[in-house]
Amino acid sequence: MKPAPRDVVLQVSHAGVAYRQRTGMLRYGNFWGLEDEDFELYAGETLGVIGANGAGKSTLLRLIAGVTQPDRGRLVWRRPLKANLLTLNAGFKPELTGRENATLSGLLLGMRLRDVTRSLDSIREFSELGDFFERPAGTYSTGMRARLGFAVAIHAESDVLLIDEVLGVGDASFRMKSQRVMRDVVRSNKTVVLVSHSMEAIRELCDRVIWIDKGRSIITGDASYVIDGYHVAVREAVKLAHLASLGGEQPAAAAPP
Amino acid sequence: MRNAELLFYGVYADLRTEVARRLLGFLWWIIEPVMYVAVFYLVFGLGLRQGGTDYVPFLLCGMVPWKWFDGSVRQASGALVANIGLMQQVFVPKHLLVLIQLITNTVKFLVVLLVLVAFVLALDKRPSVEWLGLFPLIAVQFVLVVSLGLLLGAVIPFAQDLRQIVDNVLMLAMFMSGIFFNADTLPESWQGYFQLNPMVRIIDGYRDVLLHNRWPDWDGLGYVLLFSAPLLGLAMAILHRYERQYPKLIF
Repeated sequence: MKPAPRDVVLQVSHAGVAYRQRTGMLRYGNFWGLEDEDFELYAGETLGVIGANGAGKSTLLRLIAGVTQPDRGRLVWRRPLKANLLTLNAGFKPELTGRENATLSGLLLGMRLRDVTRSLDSIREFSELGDFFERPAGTYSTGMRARLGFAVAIHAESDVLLIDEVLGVGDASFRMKSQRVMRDVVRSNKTVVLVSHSMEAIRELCDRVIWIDKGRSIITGDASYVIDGYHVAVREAVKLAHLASLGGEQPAAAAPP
Repeated sequence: MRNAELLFYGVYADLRTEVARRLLGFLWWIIEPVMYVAVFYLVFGLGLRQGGTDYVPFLLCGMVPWKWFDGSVRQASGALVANIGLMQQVFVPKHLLVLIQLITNTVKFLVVLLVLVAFVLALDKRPSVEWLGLFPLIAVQFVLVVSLGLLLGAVIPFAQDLRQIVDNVLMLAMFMSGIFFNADTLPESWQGYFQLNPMVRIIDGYRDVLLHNRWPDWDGLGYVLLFSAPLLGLAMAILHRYERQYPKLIF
C-alpha cells in the first residue's frame, strides 16, 4: 500500500519554538515548547497529530497557523496558502449580536468584508441559531457559541485547516452534523492537520499520523502503524508506572496473572 | 485592503460594544462630557472664582485635548495584552489591534470636542475663519497620539511593569502641559524646556483658535510632527520585528 507521490505544501525542518519563562528578578530563561519538529505536509492529506498532554501539539498548530514563528529551524511554504486554526470563538464579544460577531470573526480569519456579508445567511443557517443570530452572544449557551464559531470557521475557506479537538461541539444533532461536515472537508481536497486524543477519530480521518513526544516528532507514518505503536508505548508506560509504584513495598512480587 | 476593513469593523464593534453595555447607550458620549464641563464650571466658575472669568474655558481647552491624549495612550499600552486570547488563535497584524483602540478613542473625543465648542459658543465667543485651524490641529494631535500609542503598545508587552511608570509619567505630564496655568506665567529660563513638551504646543493651539480667534502656531505644529515621526518609525519597526513573538510574550 504505497501512497501516490504528492506535492509537499509545507516543509518543516528541525523547527523549535521557545517560550519565555521568568526565572527571577529581571531574568528570563527559555523553555522549548517544541524542540525539534521535522516533517512534511502534503497537499490534500489529513495529517493527525497525537501525543501526551504538553507534548507540543497546540504549539505546533500555532506555528503552522503563522501565529508564531520558529525560534530555530525553518518552516517553508511551497505555495502561498492560508492556514487557519479552526477556532470556536475568534474574538467574540458578548455585547455584539451573532451576526456582528460572525462578521468580525470572518474578517479576523482573513475573509473580505463582502465575502463575509454574502456568507452570513449561510452561516446563520448552518449554526442553527435561528432568532438568536440577531441577539447578543452573551445570551448564548456554550454550545451555541461554539456552533457559531464552527459555522464561521467552516465558511472562512482556509486552504489548510488546523483542527484542535473540536469534533465534539454542541448537542447531539449538531455534533453529528459538524462531524459530517468535518468528514466532508477531510475527504475533500483540503489539507487538514488534526490534533486529537481520540484514536478512533484519528484512525478514521487521517492518512498519516505524526507522534510528538516532549516537543519532538518521533514517528511520522501511516495512521494505523503509528497509532498501534502509540498504544503499545502507552501500555508500557502505564505498566512501568504501576511497577514503580509497587516497587517500594514488594519488589519482584508484581507478577502478571 | 483587508486590513482597512478589519480596522473599520473593529472600531465599529468597539463602539457598538460600549453603547450596548450601558443603559443609556450612546447618550453617554454626550452626557459624560457635559457632566465633565459642568463640574469644572461649578468648581472654578461659580465656586473658587479663580483666575478670572475666562478661567473655565481656558481650563477646558486644556483638559479636553489632554483627556484624548491620556486616555488613548493608556488604552494603547494595554491593547496587545487585552487581546492575547485572540492573538493566540489567529494572526492579526499587531498595529491594527492598537490602532483600533486609538481610533475608537478619537471618535469619542470628537464628540467631546463638539460639546466644548458648544460651551465656548454659549460664552459669547464668536466663530471666525480661524476656527478652521481646528482641523490641522486635530490631525497633528492624532499623529502624536498614534505615534506614542503605538510605541507604548509595542513596548509594554515585553515588561508589563512599565504600565505603572507610564501611569505616573502621564500624571506628571498632565501638570507639565500647561492645562492649569498659562505657559507665559513661567520664568523666562523655564520656557524653553516647557515648550519641548508637544502637548504644550497642542493645547496652546486649541486656546489660540477657540478663545482668541487666532490661527494655531504653525511652527509649533511642525515641531509636534517632527517629535512624532521617529516615535512612529520606531514603533512600527518594533511591531513588525516582533509580530509573531507577542503571542508568546504575554500569558
